Amino acid sequence: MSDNNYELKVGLEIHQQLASSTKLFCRCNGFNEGDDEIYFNRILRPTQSELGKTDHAALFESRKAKKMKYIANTNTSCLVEADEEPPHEISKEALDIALTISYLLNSEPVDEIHVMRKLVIDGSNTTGFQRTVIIATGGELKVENISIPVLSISLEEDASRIIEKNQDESTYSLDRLSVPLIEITLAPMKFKKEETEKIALTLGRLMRTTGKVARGIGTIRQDVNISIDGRNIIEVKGVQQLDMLSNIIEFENNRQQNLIEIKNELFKRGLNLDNFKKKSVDVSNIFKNTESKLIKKILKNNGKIMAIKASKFNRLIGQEKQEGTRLGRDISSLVKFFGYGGIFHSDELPNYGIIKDECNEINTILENQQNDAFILLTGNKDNMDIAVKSIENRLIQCLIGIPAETRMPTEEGMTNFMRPRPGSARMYPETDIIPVRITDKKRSEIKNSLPESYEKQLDNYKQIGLNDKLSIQIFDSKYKTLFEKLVKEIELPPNFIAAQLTETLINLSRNNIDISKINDKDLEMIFVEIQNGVIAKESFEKIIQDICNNELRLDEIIIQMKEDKLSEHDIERIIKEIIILKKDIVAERGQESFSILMGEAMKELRGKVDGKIVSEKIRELLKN
Amino acid sequence: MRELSELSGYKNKPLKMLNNAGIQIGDFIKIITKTSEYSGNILPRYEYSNEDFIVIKMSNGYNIGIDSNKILSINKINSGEEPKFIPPSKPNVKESLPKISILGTGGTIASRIDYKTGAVNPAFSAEELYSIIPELSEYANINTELISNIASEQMNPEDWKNIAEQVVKKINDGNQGIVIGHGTDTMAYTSAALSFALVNSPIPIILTGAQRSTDRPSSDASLNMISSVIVASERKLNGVYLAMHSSIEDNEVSIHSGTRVRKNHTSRRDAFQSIGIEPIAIVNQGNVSINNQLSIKKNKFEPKINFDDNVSLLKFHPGFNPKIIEGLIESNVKGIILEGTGLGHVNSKCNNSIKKAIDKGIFVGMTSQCLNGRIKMTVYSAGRDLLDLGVIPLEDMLPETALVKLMWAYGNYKNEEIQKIMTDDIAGEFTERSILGR
Repeated sequence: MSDNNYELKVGLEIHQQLASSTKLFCRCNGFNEGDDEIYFNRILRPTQSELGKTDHAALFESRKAKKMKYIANTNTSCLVEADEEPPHEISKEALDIALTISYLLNSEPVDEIHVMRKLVIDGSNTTGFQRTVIIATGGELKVENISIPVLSISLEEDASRIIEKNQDESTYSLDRLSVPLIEITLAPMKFKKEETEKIALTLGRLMRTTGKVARGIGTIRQDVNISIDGRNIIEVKGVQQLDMLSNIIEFENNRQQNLIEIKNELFKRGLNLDNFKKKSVDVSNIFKNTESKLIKKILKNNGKIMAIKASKFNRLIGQEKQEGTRLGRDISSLVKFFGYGGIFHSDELPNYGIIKDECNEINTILENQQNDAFILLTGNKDNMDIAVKSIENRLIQCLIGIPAETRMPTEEGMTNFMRPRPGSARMYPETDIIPVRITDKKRSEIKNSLPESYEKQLDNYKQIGLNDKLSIQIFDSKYKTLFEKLVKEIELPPNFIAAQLTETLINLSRNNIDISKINDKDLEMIFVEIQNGVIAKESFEKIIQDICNNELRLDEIIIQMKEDKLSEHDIERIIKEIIILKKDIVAERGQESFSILMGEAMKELRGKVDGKIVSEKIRELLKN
Repeated sequence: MRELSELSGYKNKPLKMLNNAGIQIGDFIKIITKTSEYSGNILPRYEYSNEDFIVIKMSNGYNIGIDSNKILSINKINSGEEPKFIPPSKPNVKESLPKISILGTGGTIASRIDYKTGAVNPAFSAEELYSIIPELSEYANINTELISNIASEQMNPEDWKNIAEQVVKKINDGNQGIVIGHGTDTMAYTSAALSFALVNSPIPIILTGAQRSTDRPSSDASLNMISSVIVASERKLNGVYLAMHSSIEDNEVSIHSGTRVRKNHTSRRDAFQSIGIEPIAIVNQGNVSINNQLSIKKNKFEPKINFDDNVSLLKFHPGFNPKIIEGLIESNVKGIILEGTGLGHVNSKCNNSIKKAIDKGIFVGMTSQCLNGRIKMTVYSAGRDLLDLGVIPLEDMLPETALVKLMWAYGNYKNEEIQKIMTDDIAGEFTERSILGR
């Protein structure tokens, strides 16, 4: 990592879905099952602010003038999600969880909470804004010997789930919309990149001590604010996997270093705003007889080729010290945002069938000197203006170095342009909901019922017989709360319950069994029936398979098992038959023949009778 | 030093604290409490019941309320800036486009947000409308006038008269169509009132509104307004109509007859529905398709814009106390519209009082609380008895429309003409055929 004079500062924003029984502003349960039944189309328009301008990011989104299509099912969504009914009051349950987490971080709740509307008009919220509210400020997260200040803790509604996105229409599902999310904003600090993961992990576990946060893919997301020049912040949105964090931070550090180098070089070359006066030109004519298949195809489909002059940018657009950090890639991801495939630039040409003569002609038209470069954008004849303008603007931004942007992570640990950073001019009060006071009574009520720490909870697990690995596994699993309930209510060894809820289910899931079909109620019922002796311990796996893969209903399975249940008499008969069959071995080895008999018996009785009962019976019969 | 007034919403202790620190709304301040430290711009405190709190907008955009009883110190850091709104310039609108007048009555058609205070301010000039809803410039040369500024539920029959007067003025000014922005709560009453007052209007008069406030990107106002302006400019439909979303989608707007429309949902975009008839027209992607022309007798346009509100609408219900009717008689009411059950019935306990009213010359008309369907008072003896008393059956006229029509009838006609006016179809308030399929 080249540090130069710049200091890498990283601020984490953790978004965690809360496992409350209802959504934040209506009484739907976003985690319910249901088939999509309702479809509707909407259009969002940017609103005007008193300052005579709309929010920067919102306006940018609206330039795309997209239609939104929403799909919903009536189990998880109601008129509130469809923006057809005013929000109900804020979920008290979610508020309590958020207050609990605030106190765990020594963050002080505000006296009165005011729900705000944050404009987001990409369609992910049917209203065109996200409802969000600051719950607490201040506090700190302690990670080993580091202490990271907490800036704020807010509670907000999750956005709709994107299903499909194309040039002029986006499709969203409403099931996730308005599921409560807690957002914890940590102060930007100078970190070693590997520390970031530890911080996120510690914070995740701290929240999990409440037993009231959702688990599973997409339930926790990290936004990372990364800045190396101390002024312009890059926000990388929605990092889902912790192990990607350090890659992304490293990538951003390199990308931003590259932009700084470009800026410095441009200053050296004497670039100023006057160099951007040359208008972009339609150069389709140059390519009339081109050999480039790509270009041919575009021109054939009513397309055109625009050339954008990049004064003094020669060799800078393609400059790349680490993979993916070149400016050309940034500009490409910018135009992709408008639905274009990408760009060509002079640093990489001739190539792609575009030949030297064609490049020369473009340079002539643009009056390019030795240090100048160009960018080609290809696309449909109409409507290219906005994308061309965005490229011109991006080049101008190189004068400031790093433009403040919101970026999204790629699977390879890089980042792509997503949209400009929203200004603060996008928040206004949610007037449909009156402010809620956090009373002293509420504060002490929450303070007096804080959960035990992560370490203490692991200790508790060990006390009831779980080993280290299983303790951590059950703590991190989505069945933590269920496990604690079962241990209290059911007389089965905690070890057994924990192993089934973690290892067995994970194994099944690895074998492509869709365990999302099994809910906590089913699991509880299975353990109850194991306790009652109706279900044999060994059958746990098979029952899950029957429910998840064969779509059998648990209550029917249990009825069947009760019918099939062997009486003690039947068991004795079967074992006696086996002893007779193996009488030679029994005669020869006496008590030693137990394991052979046990094996034979279980072949017949597995899943029907608890192994313990079988073994007791065999020993008893062997004695006689 | 200028002091904060109670208009800022602050009273008692917080007001004193702010004044002592010389703080005005909008100033950037720092507050230290027993547990925390906050800084932000001070906001006015609206409508909230608890007087102890001070509201600030922090620099991250969030508002919070701080309990003044916990404040240790409060200091002004910087003065606030007044928001400077630069009105957009008027776009080039083709002179050849139809001249359309947009009248505001109080509901907001478009608005701007003051992100500093969170206030939502109505935007109403033609320039502002063009800038917020640019599509309008493709269809019409608009002029705007705010004729009143009252919430829909505060509207009275004298306001209907005022609107009707203004409409007549705009017709005389040569406008080719008129669009009226209206709060949705009583919009259907106003549409009925204007339907009678301005019967035989030579131009389209379209009422429209919004079920989602105009400050939100998802507001239904823009599509409703665009569709209304299109219908107003096309001159395919003369008369009074109400234009609102056909469904919860942003693609289609229904044009309802002014006398047969009702708000049937508290919050949905498609709250307004035509009862007993199909919507008169549908506007989809800018195209108007006409379903169903009203067959109103064409007469000269002679506005009759008076209303007499000394009439009443009574909803019958089990346990209804006939003394309510007696009370109306004593208060010298001129007419009563009954909203009876089913085909047009009330409990026979009411019959004496009803007879007293009719004997006194009070008009008593019957409508049905079923809303859908026609009354028929000859089917059961309860109905026949009421007919014998002189109760006038009002076919399938909607109860609210019947009430408005009765106000209009007494406002413009002599007592002996009332019964004929109430039973004649004047503005499409009756249908002759009850359509199948509903």
